[in-house]
Order: sequence, then C-alpha cells, then structure tokens
Amino acid sequence: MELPSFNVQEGISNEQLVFRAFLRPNWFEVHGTETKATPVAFLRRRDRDPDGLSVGPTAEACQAYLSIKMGFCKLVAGEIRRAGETREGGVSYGMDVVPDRIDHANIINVPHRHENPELALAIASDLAKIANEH
Amino acid sequence: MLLTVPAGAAEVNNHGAINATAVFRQMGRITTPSAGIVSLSFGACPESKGIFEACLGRAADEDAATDHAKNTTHQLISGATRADTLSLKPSSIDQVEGDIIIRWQHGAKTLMLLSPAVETVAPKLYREIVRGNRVARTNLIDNPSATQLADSLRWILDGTAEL
Repeated sequence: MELPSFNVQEGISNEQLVFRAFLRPNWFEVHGTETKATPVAFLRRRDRDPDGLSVGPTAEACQAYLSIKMGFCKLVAGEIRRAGETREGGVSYGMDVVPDRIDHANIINVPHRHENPELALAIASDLAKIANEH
Repeated sequence: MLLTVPAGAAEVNNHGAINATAVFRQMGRITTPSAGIVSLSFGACPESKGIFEACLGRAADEDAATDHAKNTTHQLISGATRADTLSLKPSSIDQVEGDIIIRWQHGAKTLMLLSPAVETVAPKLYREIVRGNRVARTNLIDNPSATQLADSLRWILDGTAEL
C-alpha cells in the first residue's frame, strides 16, 4: 500500500491529515492511555521554524529525520485553516498548510510569541485543542 | 481556610502562603494531577524562591530559562501572593528558548504568564475563554504588575464569562 504523501503542486486538501512530531517532553501530556498535545508544541521557535510549524503526511515521515522519537499528534488541514473562526468576530487566524516536499509541509502565518504574543498564544492553544480531538 | 478545587485545580489560602507538599516533576515540566490535593504554591515564605527554582526542573540547554526570566517570574508571583494571599496551582510550567511560560487552567478559562528571556521584551499576561473547546475570547496585558496577576488569578476562579 502506498503511504500518504504531500502533493507539492496541488497542495493539501482540507480533509488530509497532517502529523506533528513531539520534540520535547513538555510538548505533550499523558492522561491515562491518552496523549495530549500542549500549547507549547505549537509555539514557533526563532531558529528552528523559519517558515512555520513543521508537519508531515504520516507519523513516520515527520519523525524520519529526528533522532529523538517521543510521539506525535495529528490534525486535519481544514481545521487548521478554519482555526480562529470561533473567536468573537468570526475571523480565522489565516493559517494555511503548504507543502514544500512530498514528506514535509509548514503551517504558515503563525507569528512568533514575541512578535504578536496574543495571537501566537491563541493559535498555540487552539492547535493543541484541534490536535487532541484526533 | 484552604479551598481545594479538583480538576484544573486551584488552592486559596486566606492565611497567607502555604508550602509545596509535593512537586510533580516530569523532565522540566510540572503537571498537576486531575484531582490534586496540594501540589504547589508560590508564596511569600522564605523558601518560595527555592521552591520556584525546583519547580522549573530540567530543560534542554536551548530552552533553559535565563536568570532574567526566573527573576521576573518570581517577582510577579511572590508579589501577587503578597497582594492577595492567594495560591493557585499552575497547570504547567514550561521553559521555551529561555522564556518561562506558566499556564493556569480552570474550566473554560486559561491564564498564561510569559516571562521573556531578555530585558528588552516585557512580560505578558494572556487570558483566554474557550467555548465549545475552541478559543472564543482573548486579551493580553503588556508588562503586568503583581496586582494584575493577582486579579487574573482571582478571575480564573470567579464564575463570570467576562475577560
């Protein structure tokens, strides 16, 4: 069976799942048998995330280049794009999921917490909630 | 009076600061049990700075909190405790690129204190109300005082849906 991959030309559909690897122990919490992402997992880092938050088409793809494998979470691309619409005013955050390789994409339009702290923290909080539902 | 609120958990001690009786440390992160009894308080007691340092735990070198972030956080929290004799158990304490991020969560409300690594960036106090498990309303206080932190800790416990 062919593993899912990103189509760099056509982009990522709203229905497609994307996976984000946990790189730090504080990026997730374990509640019984359930692992939940924390907002910290979705804070953009100055050096590591020049283009956005990294995601992959499968858990294996997003962990392939990592020496530490702590787990992963998954999100639906359309929910990332719609995130923010539940806020007062109903305007999305304007995030998108854009592939740059068949095995890598960036969640773009995520500010660094020192550039726009209110938006960065709201996005991190919402992405953690979205990730925990799948 | 010591009030303990399960699941999300807060503790209010009207007689002043209380000591930590247990610390749940997990690789640089403090997590609270879903129905904790007493896990952590920041108070004006002499050892509170030591408790705070212990609570930070370990972190990767690139994430370890700077002294500036530690001092800022401790000043705000100990000041808030003196202002309101209030102790509220954090949901998490994180170190990210030298910053400290403390998160308090209870019901539909979340409060985050962001203490930056460097002096050139002011601390931030972020408040959030969720509806249907999504962020509905937020606001941010730039360079908050200890009193504003105390007010925000009270806000988490009150029954209002206002920011």
